[in-house]
Amino acid sequence: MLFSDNHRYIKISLLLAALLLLCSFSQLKGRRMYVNLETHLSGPELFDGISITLEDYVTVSSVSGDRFEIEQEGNKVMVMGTAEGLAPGDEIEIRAIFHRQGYLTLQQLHIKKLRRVKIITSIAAALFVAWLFFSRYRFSLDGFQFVERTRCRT
Amino acid sequence: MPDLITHLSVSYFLNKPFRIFKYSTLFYCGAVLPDLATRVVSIPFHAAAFALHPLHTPLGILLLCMLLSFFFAEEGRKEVFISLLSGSCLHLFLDLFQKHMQPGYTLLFPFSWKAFEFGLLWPETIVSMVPLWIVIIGVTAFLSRREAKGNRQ
Repeated sequence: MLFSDNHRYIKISLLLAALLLLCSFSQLKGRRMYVNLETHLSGPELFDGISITLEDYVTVSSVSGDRFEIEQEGNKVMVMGTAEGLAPGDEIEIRAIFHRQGYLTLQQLHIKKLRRVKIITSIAAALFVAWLFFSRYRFSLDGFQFVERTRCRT
Repeated sequence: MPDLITHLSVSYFLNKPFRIFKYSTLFYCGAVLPDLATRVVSIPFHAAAFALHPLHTPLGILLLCMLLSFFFAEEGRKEVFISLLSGSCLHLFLDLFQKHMQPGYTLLFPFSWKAFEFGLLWPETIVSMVPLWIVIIGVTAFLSRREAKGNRQ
């Protein structure tokens, strides 16, 4: 009954609406909850002396001696501390103490060294899956659905 | 996320020997679906990350698989849905083994934003095993083809 063709387009519309609702809720609520470097820098007194974690889209801008500079979505901050193998351009996750003067003291750092390799291998896998799918199915406008390709055995 | 080759490999190793799913192609598609539905857009366009977040959660993926199944013929639709959903659930389960500084998988979304993960391996550690997966799959595929050829003769 649930998977029958009865009211198919109504079912598709309802599912699309439910997904859109979920995505809108996530965008509105998530954005409000999201704390990034910009949040910390725009309210330094609120976060003074607190351990913060920056995880997404954090890159190293420069490294010099006992400190390095990081950037997240256009905002930059200096971090006191050293990490082995750290180089400009590296993507990182970092946990550090925030100081209202506008710098961080390093607590924990993880360099995402193979992130680019991961993205490239994932693109290759995605292309393979697309090939696998379209070699087996084709989209038919008659019925507006995917149908299995009939194999020629001659 | 582990890379998609790892996701595909695990789904292949599960499905190949037991032939669990009639629509194995769709099981493999399901195994990469949560990342295809989210990361393909959110990696180049950071601003879209929150909007797409539900498509990497159990409820969102359930609705997405159901939606996609309506674009297949009625007679096999239920099996299509089960194959896609099983692959996607396997994907979400494997993601839980990763380690981040802040756990990132909100399994109860939209009822709770509390995130969870087992936190065993950094995502990069898994990527370094990709060549091993490819070799094992290559050998398995070669052996099963040879066996199929032998059976036909």
